[in-house]
Amino acid sequence: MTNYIIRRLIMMIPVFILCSMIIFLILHLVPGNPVDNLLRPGSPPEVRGRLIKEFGLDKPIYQQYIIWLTNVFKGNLGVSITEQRSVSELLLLKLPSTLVLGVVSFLISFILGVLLGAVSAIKQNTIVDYMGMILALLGVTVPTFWLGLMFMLIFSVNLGWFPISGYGDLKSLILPAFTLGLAGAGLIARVTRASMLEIAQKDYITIVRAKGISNSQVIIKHIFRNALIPIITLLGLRLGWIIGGAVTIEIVFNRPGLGRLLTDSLFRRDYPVIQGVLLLLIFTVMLGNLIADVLYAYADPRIRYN
Amino acid sequence: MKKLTIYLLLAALLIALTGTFSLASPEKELVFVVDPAGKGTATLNPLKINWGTSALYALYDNLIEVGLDGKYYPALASSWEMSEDTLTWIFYLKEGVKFHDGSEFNADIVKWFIEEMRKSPSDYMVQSIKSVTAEDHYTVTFHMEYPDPNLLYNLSSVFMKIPSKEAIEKYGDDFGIKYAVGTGPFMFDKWIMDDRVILKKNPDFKWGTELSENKGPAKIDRLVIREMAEEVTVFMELKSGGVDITEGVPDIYLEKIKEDKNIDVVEIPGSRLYYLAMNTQIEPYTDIKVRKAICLAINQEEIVEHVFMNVGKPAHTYLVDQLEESKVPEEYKISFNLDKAKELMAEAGWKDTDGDGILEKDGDKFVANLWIENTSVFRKVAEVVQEQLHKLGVDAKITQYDSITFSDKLKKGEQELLIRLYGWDNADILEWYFNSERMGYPNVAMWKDEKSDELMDKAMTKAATWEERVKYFTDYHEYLLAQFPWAPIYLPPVNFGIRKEVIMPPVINSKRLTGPPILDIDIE
Amino acid sequence: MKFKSHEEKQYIPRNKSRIMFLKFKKNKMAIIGLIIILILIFTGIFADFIAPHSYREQNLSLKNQSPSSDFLLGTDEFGRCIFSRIVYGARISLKVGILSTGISVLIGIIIGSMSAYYGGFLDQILVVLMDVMWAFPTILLSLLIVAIIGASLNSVIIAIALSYWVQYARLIRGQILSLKNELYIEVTRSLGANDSTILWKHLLPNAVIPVVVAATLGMGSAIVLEATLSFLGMGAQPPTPSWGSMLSNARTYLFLAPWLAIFPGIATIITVLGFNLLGDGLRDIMDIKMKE
Repeated sequence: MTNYIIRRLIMMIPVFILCSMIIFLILHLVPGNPVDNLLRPGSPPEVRGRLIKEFGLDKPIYQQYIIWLTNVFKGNLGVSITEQRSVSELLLLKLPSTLVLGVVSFLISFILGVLLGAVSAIKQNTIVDYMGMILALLGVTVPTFWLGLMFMLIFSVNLGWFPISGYGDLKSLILPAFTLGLAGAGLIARVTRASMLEIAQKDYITIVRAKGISNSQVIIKHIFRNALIPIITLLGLRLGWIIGGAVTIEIVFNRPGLGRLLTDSLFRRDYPVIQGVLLLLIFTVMLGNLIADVLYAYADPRIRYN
Repeated sequence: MKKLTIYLLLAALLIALTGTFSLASPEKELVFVVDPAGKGTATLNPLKINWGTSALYALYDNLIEVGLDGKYYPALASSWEMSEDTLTWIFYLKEGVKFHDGSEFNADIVKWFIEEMRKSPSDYMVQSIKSVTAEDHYTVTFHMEYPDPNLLYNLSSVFMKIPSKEAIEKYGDDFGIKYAVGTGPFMFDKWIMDDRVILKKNPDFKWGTELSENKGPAKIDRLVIREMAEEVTVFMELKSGGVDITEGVPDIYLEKIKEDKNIDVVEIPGSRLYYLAMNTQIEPYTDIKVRKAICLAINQEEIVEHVFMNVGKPAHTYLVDQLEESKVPEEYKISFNLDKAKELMAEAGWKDTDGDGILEKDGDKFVANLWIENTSVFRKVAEVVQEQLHKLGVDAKITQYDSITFSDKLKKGEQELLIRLYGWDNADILEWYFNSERMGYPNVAMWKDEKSDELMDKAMTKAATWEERVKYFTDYHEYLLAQFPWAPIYLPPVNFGIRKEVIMPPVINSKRLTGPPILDIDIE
Repeated sequence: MKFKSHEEKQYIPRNKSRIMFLKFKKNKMAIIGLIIILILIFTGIFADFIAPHSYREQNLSLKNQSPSSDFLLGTDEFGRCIFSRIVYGARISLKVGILSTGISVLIGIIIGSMSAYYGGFLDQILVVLMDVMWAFPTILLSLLIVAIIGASLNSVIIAIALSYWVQYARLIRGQILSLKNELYIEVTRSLGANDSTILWKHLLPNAVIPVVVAATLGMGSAIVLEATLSFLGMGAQPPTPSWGSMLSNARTYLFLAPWLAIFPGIATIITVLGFNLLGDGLRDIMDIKMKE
């Protein structure tokens, strides 16, 4: 297993470099120059050229890329053009907020999704099942940002239970976390239900039942445990999705975080920051995939990686 | 293993949560929200800033302050004089001024500061200063390269706030990020990026300006300056009392806020102007009649009433209205007159021959691309302008860009019509937008005209005194207005939403509440 | 946890399409989905007759009115009828859904089938490419693409197509790989059929059903993505009545005129629900296993 993980980690390097190349190219294709954000009335026309030189933006793109990549391998992600801080410092500043949002909404997705899915599967083809699945379908259908707006309208504007925005305390976390969590819960509920029903049809379950074990024992010990495998895989795959989803949620709820940092920097063409955030995101996604595979193997003894 | 995973997740959650603890509230705390439309704080080091932010006004002082009346008042310089030939300025400094770190403010600091300015992004502001000599401990002389009537304006700007030399040398790159040391009424405490800057009272402060009643230490103990990205958030927080003062009350909520007994709205003149520009280098906007017709088709009053809910004023010139240079004779002012506009279009050969409401000339329809930045306010203004132009018979198609793509597009000079906004309170903005050396961006109208450049050069470099400068800039402004490269649209004020608990001074003398007025502000 | 009836299974080889039709008729959810989509298409085509008002004409004195008999769903900040704008918006959503999904399926088919059929080095490169694209969250990728080519409805369609093709490519690749070594393909090849004949006549048609199902579901996601991009100000340009841009405008008015945010959102949800129900139904009917 350790060998497998090490091999996978090494395999990540070329994909990572390729990703960074694509990001770099795409970014420099986006029209606009970050230094334009630094100019203001009163400054003479030649200031612009001086700034471009200062940030090394006058060099050919491949040179800029090589300089940047070498620095990345030295652990230096560069300095923000508009914020006057190093990119790693910015990332560290913004990470906690996104991490909290991500982890909490992840837990909400998992708990609600598995509960809803399991109940629906157990009560298959009853009214409970239908209601549950309609809820789950809504979860995957409703645009996250709209759900956020509606929550704000109901719970902040009309009921006044939660602050409309902000960051720092538990209260301001609840609405964004639920918004993001509910969208994921729908998907997880559907997968849970489907995989539980599938396993229930398997021969070994029939055998277990034939042994006279009680129905609840069968469901919990045999069906549910085995049905967890695809759910765990899904959770791993959703790591990156959560951060992508956080972009819109952070904008709707005005939370400082990686998502806001990314979009703000994109609008300012702050290349080093965008590259830093995107690399971090891609790294998270790849790590999520790896974790999913490892957990999958751990949960299902039949799978062995060599 | 499964338990371990859960523990790990919980641990991560706890660590993350403790990093975001809420802040305990102290004795007298004032929470001030900056305008969501403004740019956030990037650094608190005035020598590195590219734009001004509210916290800087409370942390640092200038040699000179500018009042809301446009006049200059003594600040760290208690008085100053200019020589006959305008090439020497002497500044007498206030005595007993100390930075927050205890170091002394004196003539050597000013000399050092002007040299540091030469390395800053705002170096051009001290270009006209050849050298600075410290005559004695509290007297400095500026020897000028050439006459610069704008010197006082520059010295009073946020870009020339004076930081502590000792602190800058001690902290290096951390200055402005982890530390900020000035002479202002508030001292740096904490900065949570994109969220808030927390400042605490400077108990030793006693050098307030004439612009505030109170010259001594501030009445409030803590000043929290918050940044919020959304207007709706600002509104909700003000209503619920989560914040005390908001800068820039969202126009659409103004009525609701005025109804609220717990909130006062204070309005002071702003320094921003919305305008529609035409690319004067391409057909049909090369024709002054077409330009004039478009200018006259813009109904500024309608926009002020419906988009901005009657807050602020319609703009009829290219400068904000508190500037002396904006006071031009009536005939130069650009105002709505649809009939005249239609007449001009007909004279220029544009007629609606097929009766579809859109003008034609030589078989071509008058279709115009209208570019704007992708914010909701611009979209609202543009959609109304689109309808107003439709009434003239111009089919305007709106395209939105983010601000940087926008300036990049402008540099290529392919624009036709565009709506933008600027915020600047000096007439030299005309040079920025109409200098033929800045074609495309910022000269968005692609304005190239010999006479205009001549007048510009005169206004920028030939004036020796402030009065002369005003005269030359007014001439330049009048000439531009008569050429119709822009249609002025709207002058937004700066609104402050203020909770009843806040005790405001009877008069506000400065554009920045966190500047001199902060000394007089108290809280119940 | 019932067993499938034996009769049903016996019929399948004889008359596949008839069985599917019968199954479809039994699947209520799928029928509801289909009806929603048909209504959407009808609304889109006959928008000019359905909408009581113009979608662009402003009436500033009637701005932000709550729903009434004159304006069924109220008016927006320019006094435009929200109901009419939603009706016209159906066109935009359909256009986005069909075009972007069409393009991405096409790209997916080309890359996926090339990758699977030719294998070897080409396959390896394409797989790495797909992995890389897969690693980008779609919303961010499309945001970047719109930033490059400029915000407009067409750029949004292109951006969505370029962000979603990977899922179809992977699907096609998987399908073809599993079919490639089946007996009848071997036989066809030994009978002298060339590569393109095998690919186009035998492999792709067999891979098409899962793609149709995925594309139906994909149209729903494409419409949501369009709404999200427009919401972030990177979508259709005014006065285009895209539901997403209506929502984007509505955000500022959430407190004053909540109907601005509620109705376009509901329209989006119903539409996406339609595509999801139909897609789910089709999947159950065709008995296809797909990863969510």
